[in-house]
Amino acid sequence: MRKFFGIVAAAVLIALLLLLPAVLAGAAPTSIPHEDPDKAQSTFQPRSILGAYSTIFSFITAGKFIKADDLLAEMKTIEYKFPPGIYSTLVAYSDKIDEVSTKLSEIDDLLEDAEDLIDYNFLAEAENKLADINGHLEALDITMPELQYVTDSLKDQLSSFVMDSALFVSVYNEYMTIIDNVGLLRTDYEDLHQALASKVESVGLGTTLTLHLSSYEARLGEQITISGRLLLSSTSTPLPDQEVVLFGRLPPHIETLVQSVKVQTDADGNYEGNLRVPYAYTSAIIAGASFSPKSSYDQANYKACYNAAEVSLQYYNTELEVTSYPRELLVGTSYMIAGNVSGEGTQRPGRTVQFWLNNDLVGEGLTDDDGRFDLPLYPLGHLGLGVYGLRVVVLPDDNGISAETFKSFVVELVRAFPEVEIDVPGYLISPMSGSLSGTVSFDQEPVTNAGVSVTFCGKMYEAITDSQGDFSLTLELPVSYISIGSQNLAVDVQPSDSWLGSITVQSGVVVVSPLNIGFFSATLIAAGVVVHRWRRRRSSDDAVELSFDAEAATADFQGGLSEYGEGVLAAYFEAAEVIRELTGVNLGPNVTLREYLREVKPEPERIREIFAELTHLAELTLYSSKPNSTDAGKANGLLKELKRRLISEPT
Amino acid sequence: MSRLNILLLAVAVIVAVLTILWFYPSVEDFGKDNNSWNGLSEFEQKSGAVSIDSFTELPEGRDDTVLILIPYSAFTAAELDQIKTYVTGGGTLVLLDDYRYGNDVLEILNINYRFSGAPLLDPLANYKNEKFPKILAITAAPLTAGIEMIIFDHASCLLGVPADEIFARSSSFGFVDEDGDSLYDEGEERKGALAVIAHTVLGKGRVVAISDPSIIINGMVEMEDNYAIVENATRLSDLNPRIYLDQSHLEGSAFFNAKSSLRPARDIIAHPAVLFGMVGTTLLLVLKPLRRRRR
Repeated sequence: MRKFFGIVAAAVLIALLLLLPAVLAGAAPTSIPHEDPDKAQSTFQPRSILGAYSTIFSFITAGKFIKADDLLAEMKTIEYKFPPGIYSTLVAYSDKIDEVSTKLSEIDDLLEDAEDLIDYNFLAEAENKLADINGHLEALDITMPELQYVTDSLKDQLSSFVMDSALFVSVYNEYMTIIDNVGLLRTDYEDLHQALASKVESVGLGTTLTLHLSSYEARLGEQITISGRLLLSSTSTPLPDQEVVLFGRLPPHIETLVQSVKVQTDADGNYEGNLRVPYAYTSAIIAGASFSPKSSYDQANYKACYNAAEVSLQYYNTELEVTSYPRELLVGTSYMIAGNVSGEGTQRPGRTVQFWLNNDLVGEGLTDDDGRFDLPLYPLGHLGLGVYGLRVVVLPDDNGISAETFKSFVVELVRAFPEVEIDVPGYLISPMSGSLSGTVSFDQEPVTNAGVSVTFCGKMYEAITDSQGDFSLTLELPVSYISIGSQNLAVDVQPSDSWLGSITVQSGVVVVSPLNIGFFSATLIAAGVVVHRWRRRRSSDDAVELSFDAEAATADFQGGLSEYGEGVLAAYFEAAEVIRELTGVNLGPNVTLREYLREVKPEPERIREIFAELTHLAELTLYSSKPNSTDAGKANGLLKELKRRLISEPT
Repeated sequence: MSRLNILLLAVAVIVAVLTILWFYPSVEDFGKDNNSWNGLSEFEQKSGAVSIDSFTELPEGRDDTVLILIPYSAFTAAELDQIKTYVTGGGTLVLLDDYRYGNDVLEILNINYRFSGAPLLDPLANYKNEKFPKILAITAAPLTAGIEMIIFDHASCLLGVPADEIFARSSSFGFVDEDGDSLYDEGEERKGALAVIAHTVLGKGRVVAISDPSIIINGMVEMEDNYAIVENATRLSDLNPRIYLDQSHLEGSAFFNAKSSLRPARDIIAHPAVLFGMVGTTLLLVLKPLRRRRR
C-alpha cells in the first residue's frame, strides 16, 4: 500500500511539472493588445516635441492665434520626461512662443478694431488703437531676437537626440515666416496710420456734432438728456431735418451697443433726446450722438460725424454670503439654504433670493430685516440624477439701483433610499419551507407598491409591498439543494417612486440538508471502519514482535477463518517460531510473510523450501482463496517434515 | 504492478490533473478570477460586479442595472438581439473595446460612430510611452464628474461621434497609427483631439463607449481616474446600480477553455444523485473485505 501511495504521489508531481509550463505559457498575453504598465519602457520623444512646435508656428504664421494658444496651453499641461538640462530651455522656448503669439494676436485684433473705428469715424479711438499697435510692434522687436536665441539653443541641445535635420529646417523656416509676418503687420499699421490721417482731414471738412449731456453721473435706470447741434464744419451752418442717433454703449468695444434712439434735427440743427441708463453694473458707459447722411444728396455733400462722452454710473454693490447649503440633494426632499445679503445701500431687508439648479428655479424667498435668509429648496421630481450647478441669486432691487449678485456651487442630485426591515427564519431544513416577512418605509412612512425580490439558495422570490409597506413570502428549499450551513439571503427592494432608489439588504439563514448529513455520516463511518481495521492489524503485528506466540498469533487471525484456514495458519506460525529460534530473526509488525521469508533465509535449502511452501499456503489463506482440508493437511505435513529435518540435521 | 494498480494510478493522475486545473489561479486576460496585472479581480471587487456567462442572465426593463461588456469574441445574432433588448429596455451598457467586436454592438444599436480598429498613439501626452495615452481633455458632465485624467493602455479611438456625445478626447498630439510604425506619417489623417469616450442615450437606456478595455485591468485600474470614469458610467441611471460583468466574450486560451469545460462536470458531480452514487460506491468498496470475511 505504501508503494502505491508513493507512486501516486510521484505521478501527481510529474503531472504538476508537466502542467506548469503550459499554464505559464497561457499566462502571457497572446493577441490581447495591452501591456503591463509596470514593465513598459519609458521613452523620450524630442522629435514629437519639435513637430508640435512646428505645428504651433504654422498656426501663428497662418494667423490662427487661438489654435496656436490652445496647443501651447495643452502642451503646458503635459508632464514631459526630459533629460536633465533640456527642460529649462524648453520652458523658456514655450514662454517666448507664447509671448510672440499673444502679441501678434493682439496686434491682429487691434488692426481690425482700428480699421472699423476709422470706417465709423471714431477717429480719436482709432488713433489710440494705432498707438497701442505701435507699442506692441516695438515690444516684438525685442522679443523676436530672444526667440531666435532660444530656438538655436534648443536646436543645439536636441540635435544629439533628433537626427532628422529636415525637422529643424522646418521649425527654422516657420520662425522666419513669423519674422516676415511681423514685417507685414508693420506695413499694415503704417497703411492704417495713413488712412486715419486722410480721414481726419476729410471729416474735418465735413460736419460737426456738438454734444451736451444733462448729467455726467447717473444712477442705473435713470434718464439722461442728450442734446446738441449738427453743423457744417466749414461754415457752422446748421443742418436741419437730419437723423441723429443717440446711443449708449459699454466701453471699450464699439460692438457693445446697449441702447440707441433716433431723433431729427430742427430748423436750427438742434437735436435732443432721452436715453435711459441701462442696468449695467459697470463703472461707466459711453453716451453720445452720431450722424450718418442717408440720402444720396446728403452723402454727396456731407460727411458722417460723431461725438461722445463718458457717464459715470452709480449703483449699490450687493454682497452675498451663503453660510450653509447641501452638497447632496435627495429628489423630493426639502433643504434649507442660509446666508445673508449686505451692501452699501439700505435695501438689505426684502431682497429677493432665488435658488436655481442649472436652469430650473427650485426655491425663492425674501431676506429678513437684517438681510438674512434661511429658505427652503425643493429639488423637483423631473430632474435627472447627477451633478448640478446650484446658483444662489440675489435679484436687483430698488428699481435696479442695488446690483444683482450670485454665487455658484456644485451639488449632486441623488435618490433617497428606503429603510427595509426583514424577519427571516433562523434555520431551514430541506425540503421544508419557511416564511420571510418585512416592512419597507421611508421617513417613518410606509413605501407602498415597491417590488421586492429575494434571492436565496439560487432561487428568486418576488412580492409587492401593501398599503402598510409590508410584504411576506414563502422560502422553499428544493430537495436537490446540497449545501449546508449559513446561506446568504438578499432582499432587493425597488420602490415605485422614482425619487426613491433601490436598496438591497442581506441576511444569513442556516440551512440543514438531511440528505447531505446522511452522505457525510456514511463517509465518516467508512473512514472509521478503515481506521479501525488498520489499528487492529497494527496491534496484532506489535504482538508478534514483542513475544512471538504461535498460538496467540493464530488466534489473532482466526476471526472470520474456516477450520482449515486456522489449521494452515497454526502450522505456519509454529514453523515461524521454529525458524525464529533457528535464525534469531523476529517476525516484525511491519513485515509481510513474504518479506520475512526473504529475510530469514534458513539453511539448508530443503528447510528453506519447506518454509517457503508454508508461507505460500499462509498467504493464500490470508489474502486469497479459501483453504480446504488438503491445504490444512499439507501444512501440517510440511511442519512435521521441517521439525524432522531439523532433528536429523541439527546444524 | 497488477492491471488494477495501473488502472487506479491512471485514475488518480487524471483526477489530480483535473483538480490542479480547477484550482490553479486564472491568468486569463480580463478574467474576473485573475489576480495578475491583466485580470479584472480588483475591478470586480471594487465595483461589486456580478459576472455572467450568458446574456440570458440579464434582467429586462431595469434602469438600475449596468452591463459591462468587453467584446473580444464574436456575438451570435441572438446575443446581439439580447443586448439590444436590454439597452432599449432601460439598461446601461458600458462598452469597452479597442480592436474587436464592439462595432457589431454599435451597429445593432443603430449608433453611427465606430471604434477605430487601429491604435491611438500620443507621443507627447503619455505615461511612459506613446502607447499609454493620457486623456486630459474632459468635457464637464455627470459622466466625468471629478475626472481629471485617464490613462489608456494600447487603446483605439472613436470615429464619427457627434460633438455633443463626446465626453473625453485625446490630446491634440494624438494620432491613429494606420500603418503600425508607431510614428505619425503624412498619410495618417486621423490626428488631433480624437474622441475616446462617448455617451449616447437610446430611449430609456444608454450606451457609454470607451475605446480601451484595459483601463480596468488590475495593472491600470488604480491609475489616476481610470476606475472613477467607469464607476461614473455605471451610476448614470442609478446611484446604487446592479452591475453585470460579461465574461462570455473574452478571447479564451487553451487553459481557460479547459477550465471552463470542467464546469459542467463539476455541476454533474454536485448533483445529489451523482453524489449519492459516488458515496455509496466508496462505501461498498471500503466495506467489501468485511463482507467477504463474514461469509
